[in-house]
Amino acid sequence: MSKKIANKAAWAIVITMLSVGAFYPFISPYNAADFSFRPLMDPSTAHLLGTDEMGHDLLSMLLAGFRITLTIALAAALISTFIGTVLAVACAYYKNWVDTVIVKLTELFIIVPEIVVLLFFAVLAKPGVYNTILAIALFSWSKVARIIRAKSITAIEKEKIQYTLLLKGSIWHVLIKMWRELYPAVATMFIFQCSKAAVYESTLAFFGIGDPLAITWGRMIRTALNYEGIFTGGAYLWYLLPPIACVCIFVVALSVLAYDFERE
Amino acid sequence: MFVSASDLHVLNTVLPEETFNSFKEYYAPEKPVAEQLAIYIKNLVRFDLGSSFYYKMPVAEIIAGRIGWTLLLSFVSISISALLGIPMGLNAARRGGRGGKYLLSCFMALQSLPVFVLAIVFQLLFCFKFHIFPSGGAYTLGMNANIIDLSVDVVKHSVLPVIILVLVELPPIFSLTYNVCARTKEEPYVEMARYFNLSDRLIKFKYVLKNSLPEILSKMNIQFLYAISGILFVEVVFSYPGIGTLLKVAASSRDYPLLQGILLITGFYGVVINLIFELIIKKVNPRF
Amino acid sequence: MKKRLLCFIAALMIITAALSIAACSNNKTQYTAGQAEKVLRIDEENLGYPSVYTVSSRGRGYLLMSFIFDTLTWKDENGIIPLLAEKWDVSSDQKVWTFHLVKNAKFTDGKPLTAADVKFSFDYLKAHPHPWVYLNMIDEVKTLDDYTVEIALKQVYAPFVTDVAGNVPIMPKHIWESVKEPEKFNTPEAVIGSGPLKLAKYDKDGGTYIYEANKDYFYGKPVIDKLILSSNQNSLQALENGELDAALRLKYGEAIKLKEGGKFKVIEGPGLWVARVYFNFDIPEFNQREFRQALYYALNRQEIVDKATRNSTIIGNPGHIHPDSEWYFKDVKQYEFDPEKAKQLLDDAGMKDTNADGIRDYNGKALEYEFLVTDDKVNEAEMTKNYLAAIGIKINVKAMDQTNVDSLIKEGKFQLALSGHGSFGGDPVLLARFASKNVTVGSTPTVTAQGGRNWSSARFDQLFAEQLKQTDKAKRYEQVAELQKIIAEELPTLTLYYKKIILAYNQNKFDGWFFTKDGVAIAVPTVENKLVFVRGHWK
Repeated sequence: MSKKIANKAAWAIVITMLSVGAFYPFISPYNAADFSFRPLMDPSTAHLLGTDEMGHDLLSMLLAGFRITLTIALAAALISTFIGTVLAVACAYYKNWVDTVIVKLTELFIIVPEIVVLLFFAVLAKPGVYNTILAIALFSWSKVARIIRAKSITAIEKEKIQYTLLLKGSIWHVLIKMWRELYPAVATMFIFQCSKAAVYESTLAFFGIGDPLAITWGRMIRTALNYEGIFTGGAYLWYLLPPIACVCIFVVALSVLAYDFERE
Repeated sequence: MFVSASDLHVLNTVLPEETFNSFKEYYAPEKPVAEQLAIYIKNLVRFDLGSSFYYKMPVAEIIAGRIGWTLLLSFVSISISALLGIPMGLNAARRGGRGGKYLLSCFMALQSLPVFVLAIVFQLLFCFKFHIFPSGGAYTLGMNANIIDLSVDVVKHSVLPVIILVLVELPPIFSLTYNVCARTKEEPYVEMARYFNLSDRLIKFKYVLKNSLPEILSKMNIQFLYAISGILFVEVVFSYPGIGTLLKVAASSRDYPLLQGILLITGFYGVVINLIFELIIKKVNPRF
Repeated sequence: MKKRLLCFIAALMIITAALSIAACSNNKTQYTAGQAEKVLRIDEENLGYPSVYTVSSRGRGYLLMSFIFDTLTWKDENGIIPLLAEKWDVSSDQKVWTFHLVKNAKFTDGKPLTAADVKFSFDYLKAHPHPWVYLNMIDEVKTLDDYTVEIALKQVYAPFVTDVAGNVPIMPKHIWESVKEPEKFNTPEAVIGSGPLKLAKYDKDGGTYIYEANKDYFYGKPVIDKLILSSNQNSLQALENGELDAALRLKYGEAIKLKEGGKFKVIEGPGLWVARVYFNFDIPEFNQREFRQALYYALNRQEIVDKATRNSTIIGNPGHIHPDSEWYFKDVKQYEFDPEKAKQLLDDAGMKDTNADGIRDYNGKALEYEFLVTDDKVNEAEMTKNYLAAIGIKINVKAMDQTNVDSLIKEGKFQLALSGHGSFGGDPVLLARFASKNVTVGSTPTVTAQGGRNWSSARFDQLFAEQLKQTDKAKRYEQVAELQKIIAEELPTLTLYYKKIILAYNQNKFDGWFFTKDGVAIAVPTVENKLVFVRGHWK
């Protein structure tokens, strides 16, 4: 029973967050890039979360963060899940050395943490939202590949897929035929990847890598920590905690969903 | 890791001259790839990881000065997590029921949070609000103390980072043990033992734990490899002078040789952990 | 079973708690023990090994080196004072300087400091170029006897006493004469000097410096026993916890809070540090004066000072020279924030938005640039981006650390850049950075140099060369004022703001801090003048 409630709540949270991201220009009180307000105001009816030390409205920035952070998370998760799934199916389809190479590659990512590799390449790349998405997507597919590979290997033995193979169907045909079997696992992995991408994005922004002016939760956390008065007054309550809470709620809601998918 | 001449041209337009030249010297991109590889491997064998742009010192030397702190955090936190996580998982599985499941979902939520966020919240609470622990560093600088004071000082600085790391590393170990033991518990030989009216304690250790341990250990291996990234971020938040803070400096100053050195050293750490675990597993269960 | 586990956890927690309590109580005894030895702790960053050639080429690097190495003259709060040279005279043509050295100066290895060392140091620095020392105007250095040195110049050089005699570190000849590669000289011998402090330990990983007093210092025995410079992450916290006795790397807001708290004394003064926008003159449109003027009109400098720097700076003067300087001339062209005027200037220069994408075009190319900034100036960058967007110029911000930004600017690998540097005060020789390379006779540190094509003006070059030879101060002021007028009109750089410098310290432990007039050596802004460690008072 309680599981069901948790599941429903998680769906509600994720959908709300996505719609905030989609419609934020309509609900945002101000333009997030506008720094014309008096700096460091406490929360008031005009500025529900106050303003930062430059005079941005913090609520508007937080809402703008929904869009960028969620876009990065969704796009990176989509690409990495795609890469991982294709590679996994390729393992099952080609077997032999292709399988070996891909498995070795995924093992490599276990030994060297993804985030370190990701950081290395994000630093090399030109700063920008697209490159952040690409960097996250290109270096976080290893878990997807590992899990989907196991599913594909059992799935490919099924009769109808064996037929496709006999008809010399290409890997894409096989992938389409196998989709029904793979779908739950891929969906789980996608949700899982979303939460991972969100974590990676905030980590990169926290390290100050990527577009320095993109308004994301990670950047808000970093600027909040750079503000010297953050812990002396109550400022951390409306400056630091909201973006932290957003990241946490998003990530936890997603893992609840992924967990439920997995059990089904 | 190999650089072609055209890549280098791109770097030349974005990197300072001095930096670029030392880069070029190390990689020798004008040579054919095979030769580059040979040079590179030769350098690695001699522990020559190039020279850091930022510190203007050999990368190997810089890393050697820092790695001790990272290893300290990693081994202490991993040992504590294992010593807590395995018994907790075993107990929860033996008892069955809802308790373990609740704990499992709490841990799952905890596990998915970004480590640095957790570290910030803890720092906020225990360093800045309640002033219980020092806010950063591994020891008090310039302290003229004897060895006992110094070790107490080091322990004091490491308490908070270790607690956070345990919070991050414990959940996977707990859920792993819980799942494996819950399965082993259903095995016929355990059921059998129960019919023989063996003591609870004996069943728990002799049958369940002993039979689950190899599987737990072989999977725990992976968890420990994942743990290293957590350690790096905790270090950054607490400005702990290990590899993590070095990584931050390297990333923000675009110090490629240093970044690459860190990449290699974490890989090396992974390989070593793998070896250690293989040895342990062999000891525990020679059949594996 | 459950009990056993609980016991185990409890035991662990008790051990941890006990250890941390023990640690807390232990720490207190340490601090009291530390007071018997007079240890002064200040925050600092990692600036490399503090020998002449291995230390960072930024101003603070010079400062750390100056604790160990003395110069002929020095400065205190009132200006120039004798140091190794007890007195000096100059020939009537202002070209030959004679320095009479003190007789009791000794290097920390026990050998006396003599005229031979002075001659050696000048010759060595001329043979091995140093980012801080520029000696092209020197013809010859001669030793007249053990304690007299004569320096002959090729031409008159107005700022000689401050920027050369007060800048050249005197190194022991017996050590350095065998050093071929000074950039790699980092042994304990490399830090033997005659200064008030000697290096006891440098931790290159943590960036910690431990200096000990040189008890035989000729100028007077230092009042402290030890100086520890460490790179704390959070200076404010460290100061409040008593881990530091003085903190420099505080944010302005933090310092104000400390001042209001009353526990610490806070002093603020001119930082001799300027933030400015660099143009790469290889880009054709940057060579148009109207374009540069339009940019200056478009920037709301007051808002940048208020918001991006949170009042820790003062607004930049179009004529570049700091308003507190005695060389400042105020009647130059002013650029009040005026976007309309900026737009008008761009329109007149033929830079119009021809394809209606919101960005102006020039010769078929959109006015879109990469804006290189140091990573502590992201706020300034964000504001600049908005201001320029409002007049139809697009910039993409790229943030890097200070060292990389310095080098990229130096090598001309940038389009527009925002960076800052110290060494900004004292003699107007600092304007040498706008003079063409062939006329430059002056000691601007190379760290502020700019690569690629530079702005140049024949009139500026000529005036600059003339004023350097002018020894009549009133006449020189007029020439320098003229130079400032040219800069304000032509804008080879956009001067954004000048930093203030702050020091918060525990006055109950050590006091006597002062601001050095025009900074030590070539305008290194500081309160950590080494004389403080001799003249200050320990409580």
